[in-house]
Amino acid sequence: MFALSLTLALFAGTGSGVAPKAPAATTVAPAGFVLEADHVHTGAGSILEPGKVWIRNGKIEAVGTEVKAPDGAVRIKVEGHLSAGMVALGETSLLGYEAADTTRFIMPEAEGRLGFDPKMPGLQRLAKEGITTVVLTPPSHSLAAGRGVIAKTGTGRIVARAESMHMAFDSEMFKQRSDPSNGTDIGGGFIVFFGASGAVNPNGYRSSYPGASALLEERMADGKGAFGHLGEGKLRGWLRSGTRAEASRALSFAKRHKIQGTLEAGARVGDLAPQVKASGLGVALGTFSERAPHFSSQSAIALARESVPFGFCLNAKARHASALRLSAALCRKAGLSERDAWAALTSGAASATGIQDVVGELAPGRDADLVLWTGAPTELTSQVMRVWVDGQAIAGINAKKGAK
Amino acid sequence: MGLLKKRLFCTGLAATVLTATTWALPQEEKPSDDASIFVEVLHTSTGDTLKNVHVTVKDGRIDTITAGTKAGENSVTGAVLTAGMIDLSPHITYANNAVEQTNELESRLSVAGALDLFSPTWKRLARTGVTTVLVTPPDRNVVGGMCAIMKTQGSTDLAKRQLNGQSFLRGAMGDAPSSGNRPAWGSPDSIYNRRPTTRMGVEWEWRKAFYDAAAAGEFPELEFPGADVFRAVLAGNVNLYVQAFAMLDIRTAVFLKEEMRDQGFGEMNLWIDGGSESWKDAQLLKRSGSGVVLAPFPASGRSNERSFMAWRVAKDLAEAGIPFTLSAHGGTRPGTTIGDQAGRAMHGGLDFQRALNAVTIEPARALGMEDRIGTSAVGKAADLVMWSGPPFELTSRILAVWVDGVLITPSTPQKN
Amino acid sequence: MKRFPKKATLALSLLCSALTLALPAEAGEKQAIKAGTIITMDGDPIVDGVILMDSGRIVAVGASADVEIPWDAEVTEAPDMVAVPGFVEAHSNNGMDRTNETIDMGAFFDVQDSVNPVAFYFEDSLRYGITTINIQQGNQCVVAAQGAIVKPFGATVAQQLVRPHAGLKMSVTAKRGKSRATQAAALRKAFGDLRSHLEKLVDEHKKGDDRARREALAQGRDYDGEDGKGRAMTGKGWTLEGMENIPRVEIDEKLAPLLKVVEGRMAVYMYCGSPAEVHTALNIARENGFLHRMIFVLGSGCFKAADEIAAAKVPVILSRTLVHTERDPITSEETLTFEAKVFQDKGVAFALTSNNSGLESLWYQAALCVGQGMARKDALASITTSPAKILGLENRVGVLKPGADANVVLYTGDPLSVTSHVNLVFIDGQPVYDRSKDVRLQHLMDGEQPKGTAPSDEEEGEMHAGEGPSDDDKKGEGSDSKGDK
Repeated sequence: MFALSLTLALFAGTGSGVAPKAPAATTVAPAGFVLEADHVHTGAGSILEPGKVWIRNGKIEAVGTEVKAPDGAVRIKVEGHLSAGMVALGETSLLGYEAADTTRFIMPEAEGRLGFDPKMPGLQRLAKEGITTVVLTPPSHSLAAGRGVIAKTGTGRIVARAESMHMAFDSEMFKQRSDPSNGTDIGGGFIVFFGASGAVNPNGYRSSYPGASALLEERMADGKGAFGHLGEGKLRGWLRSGTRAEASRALSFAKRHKIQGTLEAGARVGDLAPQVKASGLGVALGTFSERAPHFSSQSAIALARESVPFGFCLNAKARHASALRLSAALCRKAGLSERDAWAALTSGAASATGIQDVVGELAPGRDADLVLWTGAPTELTSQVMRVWVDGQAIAGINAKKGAK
Repeated sequence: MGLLKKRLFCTGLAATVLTATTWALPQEEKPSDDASIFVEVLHTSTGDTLKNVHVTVKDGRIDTITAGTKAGENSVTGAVLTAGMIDLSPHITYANNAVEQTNELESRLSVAGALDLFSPTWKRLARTGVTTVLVTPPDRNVVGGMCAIMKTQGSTDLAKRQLNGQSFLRGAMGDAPSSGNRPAWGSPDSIYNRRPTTRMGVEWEWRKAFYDAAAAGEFPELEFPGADVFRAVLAGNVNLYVQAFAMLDIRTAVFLKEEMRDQGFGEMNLWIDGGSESWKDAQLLKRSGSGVVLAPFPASGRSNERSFMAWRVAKDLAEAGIPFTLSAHGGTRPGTTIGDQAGRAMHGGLDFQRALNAVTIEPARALGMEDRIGTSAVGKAADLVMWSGPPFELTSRILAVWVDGVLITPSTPQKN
Repeated sequence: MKRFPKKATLALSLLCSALTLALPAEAGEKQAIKAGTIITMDGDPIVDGVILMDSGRIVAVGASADVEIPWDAEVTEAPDMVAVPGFVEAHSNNGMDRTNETIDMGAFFDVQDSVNPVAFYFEDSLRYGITTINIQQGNQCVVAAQGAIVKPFGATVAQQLVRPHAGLKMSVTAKRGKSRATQAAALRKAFGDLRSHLEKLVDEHKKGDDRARREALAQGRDYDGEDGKGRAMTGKGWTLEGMENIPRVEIDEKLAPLLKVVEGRMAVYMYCGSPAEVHTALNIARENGFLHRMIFVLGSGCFKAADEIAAAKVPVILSRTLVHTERDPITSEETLTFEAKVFQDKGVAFALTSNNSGLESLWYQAALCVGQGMARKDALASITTSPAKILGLENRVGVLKPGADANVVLYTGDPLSVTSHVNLVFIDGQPVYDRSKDVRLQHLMDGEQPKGTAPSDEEEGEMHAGEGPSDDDKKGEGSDSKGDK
């Protein structure tokens, strides 16, 4: 489904920024435009009925029942519910096969944005579901697979700051099918080697949890390169875990080295909610199990109780973008409040990944990422009518339902 | 803007209240570690048997033991009480990603970093009466790493769960290290076909490690990572815990120890895990001062690695005065538990007191923790097992287990 | 394996039995055992008792003061030992060549053709006190062989026989390659085929077609015996008019044993591996009139259908897995159920099985039952009197009372204790096992290679026939939950 032929981004840091065709009314006016709607969901738990949002140069200038926009600003009245665009976390598949480099066991300097194609159709599919920001991270085929990408769906623009460096605490890295190659034949007999990378294991491969943990500690102690930045707080971490034991190890690691970042965790991470809080990490809640989705819902409730910011991963089994709202709906059914559920889709997910100042709310200074729904965004029956990313209306979204 | 903020606040407050009231998860409660127990018979593991005993537990320790008395109010009552059993070979973590295989002589890493303390295995094991275990890395390597001591129940935080005691370096002497090898032809050289494929290769690795470590002790430029652990083993500070079932492997381990001693490198403390054929030459083990953790008794006599485990092996070791314990290799089904292994040892001729010691005080001594666990005595940790009848008989079952004073019951309700 | 025509096999069996009876007994005809304790399974245990045996049967059991020992009886003094009736293995696949045939409908097979008298299994049975074994085919079948009740002692199958043609094995649980539905269909088809065949015979007879008679004569069947005449079909399920005109020898020999089942003249051992299949088995049994002769051989987990089984009054033979484990997929809590207790509480007659893998024999199963909370006498009954009754050998085996077969086991102590060993075994009043002469057991216990025997290295990798669990036990029973998460 995501079979992609990727091209390297030409411009480092900012992405290609090639914008799709936009309706004339929204891009040209220097004073920007004001969206007026009967329902404006500004952020978790607050609704303006009616409300206005003034957008200029791709950013939100003001939000309120009345806004002081200059006369040149175009006023657009829309019917429906306006909200911030949703933030999807932990998506690994959009980076395609280019994301999983297995030739080295540890490659923290790798940058995912260099393998990111802003025109990939997958992004457009996400936009159609109201997802405007997606946090892409490499899969755990290596212990440290490099840095991820935070990108906008409709425009393909890469959010420059707050990339996370991936570190694997789950067991995916041990499941490599191909043995790490020796390369040089030392000749005759077997070799006794003491140490992390002898001649027989040039890729620095580790076959066990204790071994992988020791390697991470070694690199942190070295303090060089990306690990050094991590330790100094200049780089965020993306710690991927599966079981509770793995999450526990990841949390201890983060606390010990004062790492800021995100823990991607499995369904039962809620049992560790106090430890998550103590570590200061945000959480990306992984795939909801079909057999026992209640574990994930309970974890969401536990994290909300501890005021840990969290969002949902998109790696649902169906790999369909609508799975994001379904995850929130399942949690609501189990008892999560509507406010917390919506936060998990927007501001909470942004906080969990360090981009809360950029997206996640309809508030001054944030990027102008908005979605127009037929009904309240937390209701599953609501559909997406229009999407704006960085102030640009995204073409190709279903506009049948009476919007102007 | 002020109105917006107010609305946010009110809605937020309301939402928080709503969240709190729709809370579904149970609150974290600290389980009680006080208890009052009454039994008809108490076997202390110090050779004493007391009758009509009332035991009180406070803050996870045995507070009082009173014989010849009646049950207290709210006492848990049963027929027999013994100390909690200790398994030095519980085979808890046996996945391949629990042992680092990129280095055949991995002496620094500990299996503790691979443990899943959330696994239901711990509770299953605790219900069979095992209260303390020595977790060992799987034997896919010549030297697998350091072992970890912990109770079968407790905090899920590793730092709080792991106990201090005697350090053990784990290794294997027989088939196990080569069992993970892949054929050398047709695939590139990798860590999975660089390991020794025969016993002589395994033994060579051991000997080389010790020689090199001893040499590095004298010539610092020869130092290699992990050499200090091997030197600690040679000095007898870290025990050497070697898996060996067949007599030829047991001999190899003992001869290795004796060779290191004769070379002047030091006197190792050797413990054999398995020891199925130790009945063939108990005197060898006696003169070497080694200890044995006996493998589970197979019905046909055929034990691991083509060894033959005669049923009298426990009796022979006891009579020779060799320190030994029994183990269940993680058996939790009826008939395979450590209590059942003690029963089988008795079937082979071992008397009850020695069988009890072999699962309580003897492993506690091996762990260097006999001051804390292994006997039912005032001041010791409240690790206790209550039985419905004579312990180790198949006609008895375990009614209740206490780990650090916290009560664990079987899954189905049993009548006392 | 050669196949004898049915008539010849029968004749041969009769001849062998006659020969056996005619041979003089190995030891003296009269035997007496003086034991410290006698557990008779027919009243309270007797302290300091005597068992008198004559011509293979028990003639008296009682306190030594009450029983006079004849002057010409051989006396076995066992003042420190405990005497129990030999245990009864209610259902076993061991001791045979291979446990299953491939065809669906194999009622004409007979396990006597497969039993191996020198199998290690029989020797081991004596070692652990089993003296009566119901050998049946395995569970991978639809309708399978006729079984045989044997004793684990004898140089030939004929010498081992206690009762031949002891029931027909069937399975309502899908064999390999079948689903639950196709298995039930195949089971019904077997009876359907029988009915069609009989209807065809009746029909041909009406039309005056003597094809069947000509065929039978050509095959040399015996019209002189009982089966040379026709007789009306009797059955609780269905019958067929006109069967009185059909000489029984003309019925297809492959289907004839099934006719016995329908007429209620042969027991049925019905393997049922899942509670969901119990009702199918009961229905088929009712439809074909053999419910009153059916015995369930259950896999683990069937306690859930205990009500149905109790209502139908069908006795059950339990699997080796005494405690059924189930894991809640959501909460991960494990529920352990001691199945025998469920059946006992609902009034279902039950017996235990062991597969006799060495130490984990019938005594072991009974001891574990006591450990799980069953009363001692009930646990002992489930390996003695209860299986005896289920096999139709009530008052003959599994009990020490006058008239019963003289099958006595002498233990060093309590038979359910781990420290006890079997010392002596008598079958039909003859001593057949003596631990002091048991070379293999000495090897197991002491590890010393017995003098004059081959070194143990040659035994490596060999599988003795009948040793270890059969495939059916592994496949048919519910498995214990093994997952960690």
